[in-house]
Amino acid sequence: MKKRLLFALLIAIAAMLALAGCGGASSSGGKGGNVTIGVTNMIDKIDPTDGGDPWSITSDGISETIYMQNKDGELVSHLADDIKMNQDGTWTLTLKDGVKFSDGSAVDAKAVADCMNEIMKKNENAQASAGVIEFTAKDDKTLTLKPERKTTVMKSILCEWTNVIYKKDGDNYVFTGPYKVKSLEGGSKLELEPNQYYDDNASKRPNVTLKCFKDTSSMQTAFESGEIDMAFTITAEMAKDLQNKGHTVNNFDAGYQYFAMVNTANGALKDAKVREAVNEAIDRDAMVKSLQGGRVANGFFAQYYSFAGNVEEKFNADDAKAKLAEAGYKDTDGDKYLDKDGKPLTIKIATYSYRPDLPVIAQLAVSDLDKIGIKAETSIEDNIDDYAAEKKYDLIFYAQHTAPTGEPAYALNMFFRSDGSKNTMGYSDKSIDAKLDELGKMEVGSERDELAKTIQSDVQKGMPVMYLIDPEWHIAVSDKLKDYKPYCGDYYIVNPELGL
Amino acid sequence: MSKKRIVYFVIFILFVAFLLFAPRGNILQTDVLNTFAGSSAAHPLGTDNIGRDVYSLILEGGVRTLEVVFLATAISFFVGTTLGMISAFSGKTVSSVIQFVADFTLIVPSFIVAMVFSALFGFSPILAGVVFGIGNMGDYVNQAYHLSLVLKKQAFIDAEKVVGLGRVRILVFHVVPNIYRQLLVFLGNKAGNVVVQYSGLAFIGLGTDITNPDWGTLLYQYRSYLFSHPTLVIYPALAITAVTVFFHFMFDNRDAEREAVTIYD
Amino acid sequence: MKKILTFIGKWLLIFLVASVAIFLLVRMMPTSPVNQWLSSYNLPHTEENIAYVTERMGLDKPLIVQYLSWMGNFLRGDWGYSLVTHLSIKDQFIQRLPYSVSIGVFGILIAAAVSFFLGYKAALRPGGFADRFSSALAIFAQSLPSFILSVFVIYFFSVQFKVMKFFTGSGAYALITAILITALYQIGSLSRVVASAFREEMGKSYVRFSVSRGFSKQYVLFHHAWRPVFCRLVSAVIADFAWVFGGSTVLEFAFAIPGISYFLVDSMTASDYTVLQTYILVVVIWMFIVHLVLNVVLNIVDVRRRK
Repeated sequence: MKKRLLFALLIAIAAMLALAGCGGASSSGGKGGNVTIGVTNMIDKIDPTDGGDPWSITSDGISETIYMQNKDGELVSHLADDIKMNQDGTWTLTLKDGVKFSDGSAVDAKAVADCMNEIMKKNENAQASAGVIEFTAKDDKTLTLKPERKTTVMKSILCEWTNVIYKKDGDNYVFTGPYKVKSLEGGSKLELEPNQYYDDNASKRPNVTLKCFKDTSSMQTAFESGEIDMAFTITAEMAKDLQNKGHTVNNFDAGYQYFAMVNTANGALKDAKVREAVNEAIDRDAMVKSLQGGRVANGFFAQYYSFAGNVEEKFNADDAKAKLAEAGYKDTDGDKYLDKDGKPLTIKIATYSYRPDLPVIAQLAVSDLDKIGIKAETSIEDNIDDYAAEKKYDLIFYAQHTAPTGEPAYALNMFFRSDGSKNTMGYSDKSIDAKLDELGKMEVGSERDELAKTIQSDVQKGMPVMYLIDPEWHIAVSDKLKDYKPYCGDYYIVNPELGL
Repeated sequence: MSKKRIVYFVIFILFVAFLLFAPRGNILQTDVLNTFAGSSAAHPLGTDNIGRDVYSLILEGGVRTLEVVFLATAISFFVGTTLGMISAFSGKTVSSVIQFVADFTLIVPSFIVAMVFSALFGFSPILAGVVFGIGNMGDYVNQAYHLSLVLKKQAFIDAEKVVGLGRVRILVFHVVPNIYRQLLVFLGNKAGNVVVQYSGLAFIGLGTDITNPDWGTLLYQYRSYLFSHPTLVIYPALAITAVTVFFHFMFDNRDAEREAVTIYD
Repeated sequence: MKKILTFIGKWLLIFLVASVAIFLLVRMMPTSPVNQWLSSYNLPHTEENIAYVTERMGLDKPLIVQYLSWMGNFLRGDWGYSLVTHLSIKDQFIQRLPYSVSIGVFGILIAAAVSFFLGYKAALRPGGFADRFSSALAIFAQSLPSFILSVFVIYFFSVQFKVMKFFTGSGAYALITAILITALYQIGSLSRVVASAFREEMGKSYVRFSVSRGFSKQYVLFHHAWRPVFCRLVSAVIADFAWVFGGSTVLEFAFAIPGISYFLVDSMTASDYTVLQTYILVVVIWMFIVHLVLNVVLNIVDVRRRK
């Protein structure tokens, strides 16, 4: 018997050693050394025409859209010199000289036309803004773009995440980003090396490994042990904890906005007075404090955009109570919660855990509402968009990058147009629709920005969303990446400045 | 019941009463100016990351946790043992069907069932209780089946059959009294597990109610403070341990076992 | 021979019932695969699109036809594609199963081996160290979720002492630690099973007889009583093997191991139920293999069974 047991143990140990032995080869660094980044989400495969994949590969520094946002929210291009609108509503795009794919071949007009036309055909999301855009190569460096519907913001459309530049190379794809793929373990690990054709700094860039963590506290420990050089992103408390331990934490403008979608068609919040009361009862300063950064939102966009709003949200619990009394809510049964016609004032709040800040601010809001006598029920939904589409909520705490293309009309239309694709709030206002139409016809400039601001303050009156927080996100970085600051939320996690 | 067991039982009742009736603060109340506070008169166990009172959270969470534990355990115990006994005392067909059901509940991981159910019906503590109740049922079926089978072979049951007692009567009055103690030991060993299973759901991201957290969810929410603010993890962990230990010793029959063994020592 | 036939028959039946059950269940889900497919390609949910995709997926055919074609494809090795990532489900399983299975199988085997010794010692000296230690382990496993222990272990070995790299490099440390934690969580309850089985044997006449003839208790237990105890252990372990799949989830998350549960949870949160269908069938097949192997083992060990 003893022999048998020993044997079993030996097998187990041998198996473990075998497991430990295999795959031990670590990659040798390039000239720029090695950088490992912890992230919370990862692609399963690389296919620029499929679903949300192009978003991820751009974020990972592999691909580029023709125009991209810089730190200040302006649109710049590594590929194009210029884009101009012609008289007939078509556009002329001129490419830069000497830009190359990561395999060394030139990014010429034909290559751009080929991939953009394929994307327009395969990814219907690319057609959302101006319908199908036809790309025709006029010569080596210029293209004519013919949109199905007229647009004034072609630069922004070319910045949309669907529209990445690629070239098919057999079964693989080559791109133009600062990095190229060395290996990919779908959903788990992505190894990148510098794209030597990107710019003169290519040789200084490090090899980059991205590792996906499902549990952020595991990511924090991985960072503390020095296994990863950057944790993207960490929660406010982790940031504080790491700072106390002497690590570097960088904060940056998320670009994402935290807001609450309000069901204006059903339930207690159908009453505009109750909406106003709830809006006033939320203590946004406390949220900012708890998130250790960011600002109280003053509209639907991050404050660094020229079209950011100028709405002022005031916290006033007493006024909120008065408004509820006006709406006919009183505590008649003495349970500290308000009621009307024998029905208690209960609000259903939902949010999701993918953005860890949201459950936190939802909890703070529940506490605020509780103080003025509103009972709130909370739930964390796995699939928040499906849940929103059922329209059974009262409030949904939501995060969205509202200007991913450096332009306001995209998100405003999506949320506030009567038939907008994310308008589950039952919001419909003819004057807003008219203003949105007008916005669509205007050329980029200060007048357009002003109209966008007006729309934001007009919308605030009907309150299909409550503007909450213009957040900052936190990343933990090792000494190697001490000065690294991402921008535009998680749209460019690996940007060309990484490790330089 | 031995004296020792009565003592455990009374302590447990007191513990539950304490969770239910002890005065407590409002667990919804957050306070961002007073986070991670230590023990004080206002907050006996301090406050958490958003300034909630940990003491009140533990009390409220305890009620939720025990709801799930009781529901799950009751389902697996009663349904499981009944099926197990029936299986032992009935024909081949019924018996194989029951065995099959038992095997099946054991095979399909309960977190999968929880995910499927929550997609179908929305997630709630009741649902978690039912899911774990069904998921852990298979073990009880097998236990009850094997215990009853041993009993079935014994002479007195045969005698009763000959005398003409009905099957239900035999089961209720003669089988149950003979096997319930061993089954309770089993229950004592298994019941605490539900708390841990429940917390696992929160960990893989299945919607639990964050404003009304159970102990497992508290552990999940506080796991990253294990080293910076260890008490936040220690309190709920201690509470869970207390319940597990109660169940374990309340139904333990080690004394009986020891007697059996020491006969020839 | 008849036994083998019943065994195979029973599992064929389980497979059939499981496949029908999961097939119907997936069709009861609130999110239809058609909508899911459209969403994954960012296509609008217009009636035309829905009708087209429904036809293309064959969902307009009668249920029985759908079921038969699904089963046919599954058995032929065509497991379809994920609705969300559009990757071959079979490739995903082949890539990820080794992680989950090795965590579970090695964890349980180690636990079983350790439990046998610990339970034996516990049975010999009730109230002694081994007895108390195994009880404590059993209580511990039910009191502290494994993710807390994982945070603890990771912190100590990688941050405090910097001796292991869990998340970068070959990933061997993560896997081994996950295996050991799995084992640790099983040892408590398994050694209780072993201890009580040994005690039961001690009460039996053959043991008492041998002891009274002057053999030491240890000798008798280890040389004669081990067979029935071993059988009890194997039966207890069979149930644990089902747990291999679901139980490794938490550890896969904590150690960022790309196993099968990781993949399944991702698919489920994205309402991709095609993966779930396949998963259940694979679990059933896995359990068939486990039962087969362990029954063979039982037949070798247990003399009575062979008759």
